[in-house]
Amino acid sequence: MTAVASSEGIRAATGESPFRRFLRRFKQERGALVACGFLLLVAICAVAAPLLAPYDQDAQSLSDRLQNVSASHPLGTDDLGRDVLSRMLFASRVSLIAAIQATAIGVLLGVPVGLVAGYVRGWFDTLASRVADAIMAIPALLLALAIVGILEPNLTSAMIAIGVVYAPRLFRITRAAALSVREETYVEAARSLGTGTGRIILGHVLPNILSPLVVQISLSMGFAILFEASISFLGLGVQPPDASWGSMLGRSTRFFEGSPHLVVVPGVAILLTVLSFNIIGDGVRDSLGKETRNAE
Amino acid sequence: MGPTLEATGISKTFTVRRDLLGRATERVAAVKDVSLRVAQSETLGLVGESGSGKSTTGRLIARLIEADTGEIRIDGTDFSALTGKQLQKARKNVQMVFQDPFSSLDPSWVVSNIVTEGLRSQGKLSTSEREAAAVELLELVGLGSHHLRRYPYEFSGGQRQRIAIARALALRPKLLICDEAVSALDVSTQASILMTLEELQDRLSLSYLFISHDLSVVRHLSDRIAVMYLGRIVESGEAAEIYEEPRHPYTRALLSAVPQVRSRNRPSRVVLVGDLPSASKPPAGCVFHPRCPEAMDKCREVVPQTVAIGSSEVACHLYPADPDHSGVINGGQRAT
Amino acid sequence: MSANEPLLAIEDLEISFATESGMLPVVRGLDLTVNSGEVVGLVGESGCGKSVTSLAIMGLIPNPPGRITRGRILFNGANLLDLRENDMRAVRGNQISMIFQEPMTSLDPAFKVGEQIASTVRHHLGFSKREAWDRAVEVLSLVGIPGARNRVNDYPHMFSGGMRQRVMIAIALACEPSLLIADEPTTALDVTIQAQVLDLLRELQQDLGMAVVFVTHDLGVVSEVCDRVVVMYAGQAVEWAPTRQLFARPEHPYTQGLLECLPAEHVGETLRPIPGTVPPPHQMPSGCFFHPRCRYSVPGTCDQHPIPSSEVGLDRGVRCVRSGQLDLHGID
Repeated sequence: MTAVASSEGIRAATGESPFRRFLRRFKQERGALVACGFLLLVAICAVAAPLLAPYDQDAQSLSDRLQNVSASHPLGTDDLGRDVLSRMLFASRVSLIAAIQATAIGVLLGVPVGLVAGYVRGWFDTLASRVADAIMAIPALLLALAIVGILEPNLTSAMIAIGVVYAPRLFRITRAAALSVREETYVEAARSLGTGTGRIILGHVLPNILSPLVVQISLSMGFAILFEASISFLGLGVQPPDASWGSMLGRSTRFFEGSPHLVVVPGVAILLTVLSFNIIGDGVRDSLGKETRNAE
Repeated sequence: MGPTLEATGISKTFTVRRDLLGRATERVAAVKDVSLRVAQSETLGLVGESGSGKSTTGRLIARLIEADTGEIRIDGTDFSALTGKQLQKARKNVQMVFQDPFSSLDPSWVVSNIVTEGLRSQGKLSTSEREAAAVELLELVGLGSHHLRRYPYEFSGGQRQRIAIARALALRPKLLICDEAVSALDVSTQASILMTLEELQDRLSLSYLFISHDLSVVRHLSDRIAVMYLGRIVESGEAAEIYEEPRHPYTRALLSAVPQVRSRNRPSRVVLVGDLPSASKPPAGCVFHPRCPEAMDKCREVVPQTVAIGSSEVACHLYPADPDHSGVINGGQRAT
Repeated sequence: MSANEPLLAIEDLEISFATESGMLPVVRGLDLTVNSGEVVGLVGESGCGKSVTSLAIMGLIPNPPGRITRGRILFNGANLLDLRENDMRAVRGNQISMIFQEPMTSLDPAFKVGEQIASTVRHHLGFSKREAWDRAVEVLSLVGIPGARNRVNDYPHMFSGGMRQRVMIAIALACEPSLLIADEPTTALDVTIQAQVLDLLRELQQDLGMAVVFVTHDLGVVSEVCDRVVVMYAGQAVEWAPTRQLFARPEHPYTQGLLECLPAEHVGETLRPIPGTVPPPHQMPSGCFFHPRCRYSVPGTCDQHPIPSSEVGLDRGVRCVRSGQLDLHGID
């Protein structure tokens, strides 16, 4: 419509790259900024855990078992008398690294295959899509347990399992986006210029599907943290004495009545972190909107 | 010197529906036995309405879609036979400018990269060479070098179309296929792009295949014209002759339907009844007969042959082939 | 102005849109009258404000971001801008209706076309179900759809592009509006189909005695359908005149510029494109909005003060300080 077209011409900035435009808009997403701040805090805690932790995370003191919140133990102690704050700080490392690993595995498996399948089509697409369908037909937890069972029950296996569970989703998103970019005239123009297939995929398709991809990756970080918590809750993820938020939650449910803080603290940490990733995902999506979206 | 483009008997059938076993249940003959020639520095206008197959013809010639049959020669070399790396290299000879100036430029690229994409795809260039080439190309289409670092969204439709033309010209093509290249533009912008195209043709001895639904634009630019209907060429010839003396009833209806400001010398309107039939079930005989005001019995059964009259060639039973003058050009439709 | 009141009178209309640079007018100081039974063309290039104006008459300016910031739209003497949304709804589709460029997006794909026509009629005229259905059949045959009695049961996707535009017209005419607003109604159609639809519109307009505001960018179409034309540039009416007069002897350099750009009228001649581009709403030049692109502009005269419009004959006006001094050419 004319109205949109004319307000279109009003953007004063020149030479603003799509990424800068995204940054400018993202800075106006208040919720996402708060979420970013929270995650930054979690990341600092994870990195600086040895400096911040008041106690050795593994130091047991049976006389101090199941203490409530106090000045010497700001978040109390667990059933073995370990300081919960110290354990939480070290566990945030495990949880974050686990999420990054799992997402990286998912991206490495899902995105390249999705790009090729969506752009090249043909038998490769048919095959890849059927495999993705098959994986998604298996209940996620069951599949993850099976993979962990085949490998050995440790954190790396759990992350591989989460990556495999998540890869088909990333594959689907990537493929669908690549399919639509493939129909754009600039791809046709590139072909007529003699640009090779690999170059078209990396130069034209990938940059133009980044928006849905980034959103999905942010959501998948949240998913990975949650899923890691489930697997560790079941005792198949991180192995004692190491802890992740999920495993801390898992072993403390028994003591819920006497010491609710043991459940609440890791529970709230998981909740806020997952929520943050999801809010960031939404914020990214909103700030990446096309130029036509500015009539608000 | 031979023609820049010589396409002979190109046809393309698309499968639009398949059954569960993947067998085709509905096919559309989008382009049927089309032959075209474009001489050097000449503009051939290819006109038709939506569904006529004119855009598909352009893409077949540029080999963005593979033809089922037919031969495409560019400057005498068989373009249709090339594959792989050879095809990629030869693509530089045939370039396209597309209709939609908004989807034809990658929004994530800056202008200097857009216009030099072909140069980079065809060979290695240093950054400074590329930059110099980009400046030269922008100047060629009337844009200043201060645009180099800008992104497509900062340009108007007309400017974008200039960038698209610069990109196509970077490889010094022999044939430029303009597919509705000015149709999305406002009249004043359209006029300036048309002028630019004319100037570039003179300067670079380009040959144009100008595809458009807009007969007034085609008339302005073309030396010769081919009219398509339902995947076939129904009439072709010198532009002046087609416009002054259209022979095929479809050409006549098409020309008379164009709204014009000038009221003098305008042909009396022939309003066609009905719509374009589905290309998956083309009518028997002459494909135009269900809408033709002059259809005869013969038209419903026999496919008309293409005959030469004056400078034109027409496929219509109103102009029967005269065996004495051997006016028939064998093999169905054929454009000069 | 003659003694009898015009059907539609737009006075000093200003429409603004919220943008990153604040509220900016996209239409300003627009005056327009349409008499009963008359076809008035609103022409201009994209962004000139012609479509926004037509939406304003219908009370369909999306708010936010748009707002009518000044002026009146008098329909049968009553200011439409004073009406509440409910009252406006009674006018819309009943006394004033509209057809759009893209018929597919304005028809509801989930309902039979008969139902869509019937529901309009029942809502506005209080027809019974039976009467409304009969009316649907009647208007579909009026717009030349063969086998209307059966086709009322078809869904929009079962019609071809040209037939869909006919269905749109049928819906718009079902309540016998006294004013029809046609926004680029044939732009998406092929030229042979466009010819059919234009003939139909002209015929119906004469038979029903309807007034039409015809919004288009195509001067050829204007010359075929319109009695009078208003040429718009950058949100202003720059020239208005009876159609023949406008084309034969334009008074505004922009009008002449548009005519010089028409390839069909200049076979074998070089075209003379208008240099430059339309200014964006936040960078309007001072003085005459067209002066930076005008080959007749005189420094000190054209670039200083806003240009008032002036009458230059019966039903003719122009917004150019140099009108009368210029020898402009048209197309005869």
